[in-house]
Amino acid sequence: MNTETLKKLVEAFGPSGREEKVRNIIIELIKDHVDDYKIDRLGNLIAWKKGTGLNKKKILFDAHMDQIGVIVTYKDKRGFLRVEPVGGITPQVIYGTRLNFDGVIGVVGIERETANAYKDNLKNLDFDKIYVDIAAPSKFDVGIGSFGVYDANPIFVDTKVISPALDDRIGCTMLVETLRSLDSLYNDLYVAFSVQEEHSLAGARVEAFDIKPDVAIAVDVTDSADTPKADKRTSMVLGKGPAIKVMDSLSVSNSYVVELLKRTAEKNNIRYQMEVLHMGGTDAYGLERTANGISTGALSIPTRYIHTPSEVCEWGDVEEGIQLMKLLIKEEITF
Amino acid sequence: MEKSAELLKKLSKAFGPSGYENEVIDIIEEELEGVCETRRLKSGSLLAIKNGDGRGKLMVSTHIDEVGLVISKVKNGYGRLVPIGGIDPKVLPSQVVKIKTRDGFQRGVVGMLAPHLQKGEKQDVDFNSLFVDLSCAPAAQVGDMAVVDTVAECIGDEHFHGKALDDRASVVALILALKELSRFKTHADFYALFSSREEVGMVGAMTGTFEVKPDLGIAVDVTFGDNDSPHAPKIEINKGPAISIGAATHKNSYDLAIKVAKQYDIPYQIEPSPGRTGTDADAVQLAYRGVPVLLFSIPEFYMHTPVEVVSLNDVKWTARLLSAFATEWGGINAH
Repeated sequence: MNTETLKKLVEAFGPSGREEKVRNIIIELIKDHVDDYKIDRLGNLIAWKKGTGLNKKKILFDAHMDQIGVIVTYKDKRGFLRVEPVGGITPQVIYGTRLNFDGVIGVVGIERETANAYKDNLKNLDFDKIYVDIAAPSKFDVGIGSFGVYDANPIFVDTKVISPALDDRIGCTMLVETLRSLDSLYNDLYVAFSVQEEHSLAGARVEAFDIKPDVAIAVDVTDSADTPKADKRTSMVLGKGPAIKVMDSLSVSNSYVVELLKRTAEKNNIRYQMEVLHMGGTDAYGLERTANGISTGALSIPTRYIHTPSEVCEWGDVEEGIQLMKLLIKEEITF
Repeated sequence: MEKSAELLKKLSKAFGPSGYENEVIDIIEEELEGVCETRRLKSGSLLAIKNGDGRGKLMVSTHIDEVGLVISKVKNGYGRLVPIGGIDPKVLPSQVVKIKTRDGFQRGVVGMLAPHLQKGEKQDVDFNSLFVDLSCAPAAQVGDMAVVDTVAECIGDEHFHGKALDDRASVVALILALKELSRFKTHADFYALFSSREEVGMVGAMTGTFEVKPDLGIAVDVTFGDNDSPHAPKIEINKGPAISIGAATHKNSYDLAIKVAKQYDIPYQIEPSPGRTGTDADAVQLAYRGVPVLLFSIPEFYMHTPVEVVSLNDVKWTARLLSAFATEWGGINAH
């Protein structure tokens, strides 16, 4: 498996609102494979490649560049930092981890004045009770307003990937690899690498305004329920192909887009699963309510332990997802 | 049964959870044939247009979707459910649900053990404890939409019960208003937006407003006729539409609505709405460049259950208020 692109992208620093490094890597990877690209006022990267089909449509694929993280709210005299979440990050998950403040590593500690306080704090952990220790605070310029993310050390085990920020660098990888391996286009292809999904979906709310695509598809991760005592009402699993989203807690996919994805997959013998996610949302929410409306759906990679430093997905699902995206670009679409 | 009750019955029975409103649109289109021009929008909404003298654009929005269910997992002939919009799981046991499968509609049963067979302590019903029996729905699969299958009929002289009267009672009122208006000349162009996806974030209203770019928007929805909280306004069923006053609604237009109601001898009630209204009005107000809004509501008992109850008189009075207001409103009055 060729995982070079993914490795580069998950190692890049890019919390919501600070996506420049991710964007620069993506530009380097795609610039020779697109007609042109632009960066809009919010920081979204939008690239396009025109198709040659007689009845071509405009298809937009979206993936978000940003990742969850923390922001420094206070630095005490000894240099210990207090942080607040940027996106869905929990104190239980960051306690004990290494955080990366754009090159400076910090470790997360917990207040423990007495044995009882330590026990209580562990049980009722919140951001008031943890701090970040950057070891040599006088040497580094990390202070109020600095952003941190999980330190990345991606590993590839058999056909699986373990890394932070698969949400959504896996989607970014799929868009990049789709562009880099396209031989022909029927439809006009637009790819949008969005900002601030984890924070407010701000990028996706505006990125398609000027494009007015006929179809928009958000490519992101979704939950996987193939682990011990996993969510009872979730059906997605690793290794059975990408998931076609029917709904999540923020949006209901356009039924024609759902059918289009299913039909294209079936016709070409690509495996897929149906996705109903009762907690969570994606850029699809922002896309569907742009201007006078866009027919929007989502393609998801089932992933375990989303929003932890060790998200796990199956590379085969990614490859089948890329195949499906390429077919959509190559085929005449009728609604 | 008289005509408006017949129409409400047809609409109440129609299948239309958020994002899957086509059956409702078919009924409305048929009803408006020869009355005015209609156009289907990308969001799955329907727009009906009755042109006036071009002195401003007045848009009335009623949503056509209903709360529903989606099958999120299938195992051993049973399905797990995720709600679309706000469904209380307590209303589901012992209901038949109508599932839209690839082989057409099939029925599932949310069963409940006979009292004789129930053991142990009584548990609260939540979605994690609910199953739908799919013995008679062999084609049902993850991602299929469902609604509770129930009757719709008149009870007593004025009362009508059924599912989805939120907001199909308002849809009837808007259709009646359109029919009335088609016989008269109006100052303003009148746009009737039958909006999709209100229950999942008002997508139809938001994108429909961008399409129309109205000078004034009126949302018509249902409100609680059964809220006995001492802090809630006393709204009663069969006493006329409730006209909202509050931060969100436009004061000058509100004054005009009250004046019109008095002038035309239409019963009405006043409903204070201090903050957001939880209706299409919220989305219309913030769409495009911002739109002044009003909210008229039909009082209802037992919202979001299979036995919602409204008064047919309230439906007719709401229709009259809409047509009278549209006749009087000259565009300039809105500013």
